[in-house]
Amino acid sequence: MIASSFWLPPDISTHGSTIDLIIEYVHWFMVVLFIAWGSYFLYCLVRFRAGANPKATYRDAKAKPSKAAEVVVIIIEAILLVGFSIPVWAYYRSDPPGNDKNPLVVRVVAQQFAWNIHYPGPDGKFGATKPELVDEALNPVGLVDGSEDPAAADDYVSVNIFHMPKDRDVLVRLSSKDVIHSFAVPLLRVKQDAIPGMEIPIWFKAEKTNEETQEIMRRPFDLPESAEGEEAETFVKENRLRITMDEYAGIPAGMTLSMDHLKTLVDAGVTSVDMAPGFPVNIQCAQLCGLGHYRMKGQMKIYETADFEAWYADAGKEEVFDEDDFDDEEEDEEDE
Amino acid sequence: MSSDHHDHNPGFISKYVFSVDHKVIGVQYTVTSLLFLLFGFTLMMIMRWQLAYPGESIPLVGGWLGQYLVDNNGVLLPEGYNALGAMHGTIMVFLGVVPLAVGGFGNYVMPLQIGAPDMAFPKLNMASYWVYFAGGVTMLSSFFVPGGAANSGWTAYPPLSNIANTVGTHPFWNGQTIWLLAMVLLITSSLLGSVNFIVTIIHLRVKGLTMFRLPFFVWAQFVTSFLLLLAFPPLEAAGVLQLMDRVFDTSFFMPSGLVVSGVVQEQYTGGGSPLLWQHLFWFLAHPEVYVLILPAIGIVGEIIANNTRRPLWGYKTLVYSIIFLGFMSFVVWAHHMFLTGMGTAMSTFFQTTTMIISIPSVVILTALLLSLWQASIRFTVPMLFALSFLPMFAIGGLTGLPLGLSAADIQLHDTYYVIGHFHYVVAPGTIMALLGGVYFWFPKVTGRKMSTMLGHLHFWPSFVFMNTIFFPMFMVGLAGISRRLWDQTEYVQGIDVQGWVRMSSWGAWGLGLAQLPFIINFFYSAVAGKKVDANPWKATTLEWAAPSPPPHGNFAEVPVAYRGPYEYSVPDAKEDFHPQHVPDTQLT
Amino acid sequence: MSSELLPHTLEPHPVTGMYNGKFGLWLFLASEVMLFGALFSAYILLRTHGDFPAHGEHSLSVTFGAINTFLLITSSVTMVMAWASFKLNEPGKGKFYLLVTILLSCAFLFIKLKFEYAHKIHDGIKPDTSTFYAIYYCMTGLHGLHIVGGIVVMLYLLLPGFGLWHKNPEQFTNRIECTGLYWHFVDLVWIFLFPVFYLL
Repeated sequence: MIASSFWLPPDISTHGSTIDLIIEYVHWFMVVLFIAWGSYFLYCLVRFRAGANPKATYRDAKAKPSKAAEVVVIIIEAILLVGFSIPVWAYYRSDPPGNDKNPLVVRVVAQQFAWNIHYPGPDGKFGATKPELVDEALNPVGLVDGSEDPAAADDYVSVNIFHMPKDRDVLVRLSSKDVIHSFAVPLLRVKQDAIPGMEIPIWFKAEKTNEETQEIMRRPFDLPESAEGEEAETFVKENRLRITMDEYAGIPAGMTLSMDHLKTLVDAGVTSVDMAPGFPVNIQCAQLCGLGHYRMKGQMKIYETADFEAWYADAGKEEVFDEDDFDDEEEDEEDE
Repeated sequence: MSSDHHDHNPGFISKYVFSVDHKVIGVQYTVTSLLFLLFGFTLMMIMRWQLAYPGESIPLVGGWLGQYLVDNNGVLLPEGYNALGAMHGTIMVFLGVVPLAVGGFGNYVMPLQIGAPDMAFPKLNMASYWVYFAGGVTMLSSFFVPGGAANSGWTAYPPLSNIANTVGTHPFWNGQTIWLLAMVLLITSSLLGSVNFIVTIIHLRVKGLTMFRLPFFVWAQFVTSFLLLLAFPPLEAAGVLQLMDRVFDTSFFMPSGLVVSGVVQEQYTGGGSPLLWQHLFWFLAHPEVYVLILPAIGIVGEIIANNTRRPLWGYKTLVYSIIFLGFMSFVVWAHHMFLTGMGTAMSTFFQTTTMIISIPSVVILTALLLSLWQASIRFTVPMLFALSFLPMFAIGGLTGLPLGLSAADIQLHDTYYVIGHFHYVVAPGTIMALLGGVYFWFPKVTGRKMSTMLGHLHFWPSFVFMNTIFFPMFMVGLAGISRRLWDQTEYVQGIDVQGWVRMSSWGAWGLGLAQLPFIINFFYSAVAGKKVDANPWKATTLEWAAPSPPPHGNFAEVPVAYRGPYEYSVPDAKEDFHPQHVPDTQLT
Repeated sequence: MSSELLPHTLEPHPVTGMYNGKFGLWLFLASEVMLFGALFSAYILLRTHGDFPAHGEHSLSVTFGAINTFLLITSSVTMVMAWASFKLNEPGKGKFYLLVTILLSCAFLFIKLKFEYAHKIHDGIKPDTSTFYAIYYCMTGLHGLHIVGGIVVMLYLLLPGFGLWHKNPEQFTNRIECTGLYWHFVDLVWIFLFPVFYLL
């Protein structure tokens, strides 16, 4: 509770609660240990200061309680290790969803500074790729032509937008074109280095769609009293990645607030609006990958199964790479 | 090797510059590394501006940082941020803390504590310092070459580091290549030093000073030297391989089929492994953590024993614990690499060894805490620093647990949580202990005591600001913010934690200000501090048997050790301390 | 000016049974083992990793390798002879054997540079040709630098450093012994390098 309710981001994955549980237990353990040590420490500083205890005792204090404490520490660490960490890792690393679970298999190819999400299309087979075919704008993963490899014909590559259904296993085959990146999705409790020359499988299952996640993350924001001035500008700037969750003063839900919006709201006497992140589920790069490391940001779009199927059927038909995905995220948010 | 410096009158150059006297070399190391610490910290104070106020011009210094670090408006560039980050890490670890802890304190104090006239190889000792100095100058020179300093992190992971600083730069004199050359020099310096330390500790102990009568600090230096000796060569090997990758286009760390910015990397044949670097690097860099922390624990042990006026609790337990730590530190390195595609077997092995290595750390902390029981605690300035080490080292150690458990590490890996964790170990932990050491041994080096009032003005703000800087990082990390981001407000969670980030930044600038009393105190007390006798702290170990400052050759007459290092408050004794060198007959 | 020696500059320490220099040298060799050990590990990893060229695609001259192995082993023997001669107070013979050691190691370097490196580079085989040649040039090059370092030390002992013999023959002989230890180590590294690169 310490960790999860205050500081960890919401968890929308099926496996994430086990990770949160470990983090939480470890933190409780740490807090208890620290308080125990700390109170003993402070007691000693006061009780055995030179003024209160001018003559120190030569022989060593009996250490029975401390030995017992050390044994307890060892036991708790062993429990955390054997009871929690090793089994969770074994699931996370060694038990990929088999065909019986019908996972969505996707290749993710990291590059400076974008995430290429490569879908196999309706045939379920990835087309071959070649480094020399890579074109940053038109063919980011170097997919061969459909005439050379039929499997490539219906492949679809999305840049920085990871479309996926909820309640279905997703198996990502993670690699990198250039340097080491790390595919981190804090809300899905997923993190894995993307290493050139290696293809590393990871898997996860989301329990919430984007909209449901936004509902979890919605919270009220007090509007500034005036729609002009530094406070208002700061407010707009700090909330540039959020959208409104309800209609306020004629401004429909799903809008990123501009200065004009703010003026409308303030004039209408609205004092507080509910907002949530426009794209609640971010993909971050967690491993330093160059000067654009900070902006190597992807977005998850998690749909209901039917919506995903509809999107996927459409996307698969397009043979060429979809230019629309280069659009700025701000515009995308307006679309929400 | 002969040491023909004891009884002639050398000129200024050979006395203070190219001196072979361990004390002069120790002071040289101390002053140089303190300057590097200040410099490395200044880099971070600049970076903290960008983090606290992303995209705003850096005040005061923004105008003259140069084109590789800032744009025309004095805003830190992303590549400039990366360069400062890489150099901050490298400078603090390799040019600051290690040279101060080992080169400075080790060189000055250790030979005195074992009653030796000098190090076993005085000329080699001088060479260690000057190779270190050359490494430092080389490292700093990279700020001025086209393209600026190395910007691939202090860990220098390839392929990024292989392709970094290659566009618009000199093929050889560029940031990353200079970084590698400087590292080779620094590693060489450490190797020379560690050989010297081990031989000195084993061979030059005075009569009666058995291994289990050695002060705890000497034991810490002893274990540290073994770590340096055995862990650094693999990094040297890795450095040579990366140098070849950069200069001769070999492919040690380059797999096949790399495409950088749409360009196929044809100059590389491929066939290498990026993970090879990580294994070699962390095989060094985990023991390196203990290289940083063990001397600090040693200093804390000395100060605590002296200021509690009772023997260090469980001296032998402490010694065995640090030896065990030293061994174990060689088999935990891959816990830095849990997320590189490691299977269950490997991760089980490395997280088990990691949990095991936490146990001697707990034992050490417990022993130091138990030393306070039934003590008579004097709150001198060095004691304040040593005491503050205990809770902050505890925080650093405890927060290592969730990182060492690979499942929890999935969420916390490469976030600010990691930054908070290791800084608690090396900054509020180690650096506070080292500062305590400066206050503690200053009277021995100069014959004068540092000002207590300025000491308090230094300690209390430093203690508060250290925590102001690093504690918020745990919250930022739990919120899921990756480390090494130029602008974390790209992410909505980053905006949410911006308050904590600013708090860290203001803490950092406050810590900078808090060092002013120390700097003033250091120079003022060196010339005008209160003069004290040879043993102002009423301490027991042998360095206090020498005059302050000790002359060439250290001791007026070669001392003999009659007892263990911490005979304080022996029952029915006249004085509450029994120095190691005073025979029983003179004590009763 | 009298030069006062530090303890155990000459007489062995009871714990280690060695004088300072020898103990220090053994420690230095321990770190050298870690250095070459790391490189051998890198070799194994690269070889088992995948794109390592199969045996037969690369050809190093076993003949030259064998000659060089012979030269180095012989030089180790002459190094021992040099030490023994100084120990028996025969400085003339000692200097002779030291000179022979230097010449043998120069011959090693000559073959390495002229008949191996130069030929390879002439044929267009450089460190970037494959990971095999990369690690080959790296490890043999680093070994070559160790040989050069040894030659420099021996030349020093033979020429400017020989003055110590007249002042303190025991200390000088100790230096020869330490140089010899180092030399045997360099030799031993080659004995590993030869089969790894030329035969396997």
